[in-house]
Amino acid sequence: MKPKAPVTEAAITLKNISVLYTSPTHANMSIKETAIRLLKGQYDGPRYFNALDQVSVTVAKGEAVAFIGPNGCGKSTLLKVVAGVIAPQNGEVITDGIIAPLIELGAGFDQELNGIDNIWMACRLIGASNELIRAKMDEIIDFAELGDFMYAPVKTYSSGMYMRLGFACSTIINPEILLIDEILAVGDARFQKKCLDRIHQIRGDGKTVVIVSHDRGIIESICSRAVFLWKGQLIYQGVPRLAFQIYEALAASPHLHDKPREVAEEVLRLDQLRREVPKAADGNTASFITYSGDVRQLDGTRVIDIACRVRLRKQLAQPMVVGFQVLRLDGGRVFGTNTKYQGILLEDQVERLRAPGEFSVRWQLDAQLLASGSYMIEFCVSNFEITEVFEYLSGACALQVINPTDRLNHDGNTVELTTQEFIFSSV
Amino acid sequence: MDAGHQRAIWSAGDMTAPNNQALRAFAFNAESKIAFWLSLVGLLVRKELKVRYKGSVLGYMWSMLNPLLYMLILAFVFSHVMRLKTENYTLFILTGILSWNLFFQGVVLGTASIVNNASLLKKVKVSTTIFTAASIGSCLVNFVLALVPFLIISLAKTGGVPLTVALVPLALVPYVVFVFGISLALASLNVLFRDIAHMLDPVLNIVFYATPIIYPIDTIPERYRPLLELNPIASFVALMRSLMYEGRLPSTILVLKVLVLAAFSLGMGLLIHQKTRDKFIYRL
Repeated sequence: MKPKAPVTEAAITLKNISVLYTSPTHANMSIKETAIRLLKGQYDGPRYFNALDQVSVTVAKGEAVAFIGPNGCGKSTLLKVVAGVIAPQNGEVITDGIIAPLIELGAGFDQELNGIDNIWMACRLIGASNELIRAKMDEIIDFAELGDFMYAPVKTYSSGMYMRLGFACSTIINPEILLIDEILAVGDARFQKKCLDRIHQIRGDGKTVVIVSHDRGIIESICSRAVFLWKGQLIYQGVPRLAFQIYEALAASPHLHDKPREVAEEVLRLDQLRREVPKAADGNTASFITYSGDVRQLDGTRVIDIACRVRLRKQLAQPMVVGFQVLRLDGGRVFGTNTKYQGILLEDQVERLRAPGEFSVRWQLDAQLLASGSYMIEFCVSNFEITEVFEYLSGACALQVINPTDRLNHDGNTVELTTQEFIFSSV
Repeated sequence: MDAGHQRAIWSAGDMTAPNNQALRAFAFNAESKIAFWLSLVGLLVRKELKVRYKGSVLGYMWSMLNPLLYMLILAFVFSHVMRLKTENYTLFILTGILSWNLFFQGVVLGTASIVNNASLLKKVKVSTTIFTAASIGSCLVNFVLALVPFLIISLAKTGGVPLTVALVPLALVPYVVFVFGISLALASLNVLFRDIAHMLDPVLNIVFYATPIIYPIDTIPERYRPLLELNPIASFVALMRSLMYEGRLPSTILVLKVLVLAAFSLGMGLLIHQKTRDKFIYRL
């Protein structure tokens, strides 16, 4: 049996997106200026710079992805491309689902109108019906907790109140795609918590979230993936922890600013080295062919399916040991197990794990035991004493857990592995 | 139009979201493109009017008072100072001003409409034509409100109202389309070159005096009259005036002329808008 790639539908597909901005020194030139430059022979046409250069990103339904990078790297531009507000000069944008009004600071609401009128306007513009808005209005007002300010012009709002209005308005009407541009940091701690809970709930409903933020804590608690942009180019997409490591490494070394890809490679290589077990993995005795970890729906209960396929090349005196562990994104270990620990129960099978061949190992565990959030899975195959590692796959795959019974708990509680089913077979 | 894209987004949405099908069904119901576009325009018109008269004591009354005050000044200057002899000059000038105002306000507000709504454009994907249409819509509301003092003055001065006034709504259709087309073109160009808004003031002043609004057409020497034929606004003012002031049906030629003008203006406006709209976001 071969572990299948999870079948996920894309909510957002961005293919080779390029956005050119006119250089600010040339933008908004008046007719007069253009004419004068033409007469003087100085007009060399508008000058451009690449705000986004051939960026391709796919976001699956139900996924939460962060765009990170320094100011001016193109994150907000990319978010606006997703929102359909900016039409890229090059590339293709495909979105599947109703997109909520972009939540961002400084723009978006009519300053003269009060909160209610602005909610009405923003929701109508994305196509929500009057009935829906009317039905949801109380909920939006409750969520925003603006009190009488709801009836005051938006120009009198503080930035925190502005954010409350934007967040309430965009999240309550049940959009399929939620886009948030660096705004969560503005709310006070309690409201920020409320927003994060709301985002977890939205994700639990299978909706897609894209966040632009500088807040590592928020991103690591919400997002399973981060897209790191540097000067309009996509440098890395993957585990948020690594994305931030690359970002920090790059930011700390100005002389390497023109070589972002090399820095990324180096960071990933170092990470790999750091995580490798001291004992050299030779990969000759046994190695992984495939591996996967996904959340599946089985009989209405969510099951985490962790599977791998190992090839053993040599005859061993003792059975080999195949194991996995689940880690939090910050590297903290949640739990793990291996065939030695469990295999004792199945002696006849264990005997077979000594002879050369291919083996499939599959664990199933109850996802409800894990707190909602993102995890990494690592696989390891070693000798019976676990003194010699044949192959070690760090950060092999990411695991996203959306636990409907545990929406509010995203503190990364460790849990005990209690339910397990142990199947393996040799070919 | 952009409304099509908007539509595409929510029809795609209709196919998904298995768990709240019921909610989805009533939330994003099958409004037609045009109905959706019109409903957004209606919403924005209400917003514009709300914002415009915010904090003013008289509110909507200003839509009626403004043309009246203007009429009083012009009527005084021209009939007593300049001694212009025209039958019922007060009514003549009021109908002229009302017709002119629809064009003037429409173009001024319409030209600024896209730039003024930059904040919304940066937030949701929406057709920019709705903002221009909403500006024209709010001017249309103004015009309708100003019909009230017109009816009163007409009754007071002539003891009645011409029956042809009933045809005014029909005449407004090509006029509004004409103003929308011009405004859409200017609004689009204004995003790229803000000079347009500045240029508008002197240009509209010239057009005002080049149009028979405060003076009757027969005060113009015969040989210059063909020039007036080149002024499209003159045709619309003549159309409105024939219904509101002269009380007779416009000539077939005039009707055909305004229809052609309206169609041409709309076509040109949509074309310029379509050619420039992708650049808007970079210039707002």
